Amino acid sequence: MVDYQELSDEELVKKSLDDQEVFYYLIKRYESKLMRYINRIASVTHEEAEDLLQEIFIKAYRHLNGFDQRLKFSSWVYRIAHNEVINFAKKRKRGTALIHASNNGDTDNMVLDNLAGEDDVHGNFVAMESREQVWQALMELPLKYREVLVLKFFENKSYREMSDILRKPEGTVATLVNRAKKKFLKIASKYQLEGILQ
Amino acid sequence: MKGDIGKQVLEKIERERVRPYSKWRFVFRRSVMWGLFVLSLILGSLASGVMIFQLTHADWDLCHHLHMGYVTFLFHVLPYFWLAFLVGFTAFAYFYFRRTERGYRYPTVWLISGSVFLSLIGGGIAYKVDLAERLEVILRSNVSIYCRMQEMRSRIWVAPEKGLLAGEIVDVQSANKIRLKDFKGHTWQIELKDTLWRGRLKATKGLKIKVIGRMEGRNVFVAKEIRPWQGHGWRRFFRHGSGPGRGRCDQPDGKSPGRWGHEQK
Repeated sequence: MVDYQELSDEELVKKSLDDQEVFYYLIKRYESKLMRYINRIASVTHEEAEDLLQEIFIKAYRHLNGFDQRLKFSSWVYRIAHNEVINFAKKRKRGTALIHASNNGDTDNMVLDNLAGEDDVHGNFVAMESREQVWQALMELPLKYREVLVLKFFENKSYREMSDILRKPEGTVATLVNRAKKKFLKIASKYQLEGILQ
Repeated sequence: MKGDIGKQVLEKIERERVRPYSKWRFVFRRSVMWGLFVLSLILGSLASGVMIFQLTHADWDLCHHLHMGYVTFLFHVLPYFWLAFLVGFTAFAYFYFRRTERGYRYPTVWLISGSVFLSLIGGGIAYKVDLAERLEVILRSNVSIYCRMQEMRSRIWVAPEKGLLAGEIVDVQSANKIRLKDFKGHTWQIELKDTLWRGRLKATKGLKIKVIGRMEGRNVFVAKEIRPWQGHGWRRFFRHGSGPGRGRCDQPDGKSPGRWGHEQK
């Protein structure tokens, strides 16, 4: 009896091609991660996020034979998610709209600390009174900047993985992250200033 | 999450009979991208090959005559038509390589400079094996618009005040005098005295030549040196009868054949 939970992603991919039921284990492995990712970068309702997630997995299943074994499966499936979200944002033309505040608090606060620390700009948003404001600041960023921040600081992806997900050279990804951080800190400081004035 | 997404997805897969695309579909797509990339490089190589051919056959010694620097002269003789092709095919090569499995990992600068480098290497080979020259001849022989574009580059030779003249011999008056009609239709009396004839030429009516010398009057030009309209690189094609001497470039209007570039043995 095969314990599918013990198998690697790549092994599950191979077995899914023979038996579609095995694909279930891949879905289970990634559904919450991808759901969080979608919620963090896209302006969607919960139902829309679920629909997007379904589409992502269906698309992944259709393209299983195109999976490049030299990549990590996680990078590959995040790439599909990235493409689907981009397409969704284009359709909706609301790439920079505000998101509902339904994100994971503890982890995100920790990540935000890291983000601030990395740039040596102390406390610009750590000091923010509410997490809501942080998310508002994040959602004011254009999708391309928001996404790299989410991948780097919320999904803890390496530059190589981000390069594979976004299909951009690592150097370009690093530049995008730096620009995104600067823009984010600018927006965040604006929020902080408003908070003080109030 | 409301329901079990995994089950919902599997149900949808079952209900809509979703099947993974064939492996060959992806192999085909990858092959197309690689094929188009290689094709772009080959076409870029041909473009750079003709560029190399045209540049090596430019009259570089005119730099001194025109008191021009090499860079300035380069801008005059640069084959912009082929340069545009090289840029275009480099862009295509970049575009298709980026769409290969891992092409996105390479920085744009590397990809573009790599494509240009490979095209130049390929162009050098095309030039060495005379492929570039043959392509140039075929285009000159069959495409009138190409001829006209190439003639624009020849305008450097219609500068009698700078001692340069080019055109067709319309009359051989004596051993020391010929009449020449330049590109602009102006007729000149060319005085031949201690004139150096390059390319084993001899004065013949209808022959297209380049003249280096000095203007002596409104219609008089003293020739120090006479060159064939097309350089030495064209010789083998004249012999084989398929060169510009028989093509559309024979006439400035590119319509009917004549003796443009004809070289005497």
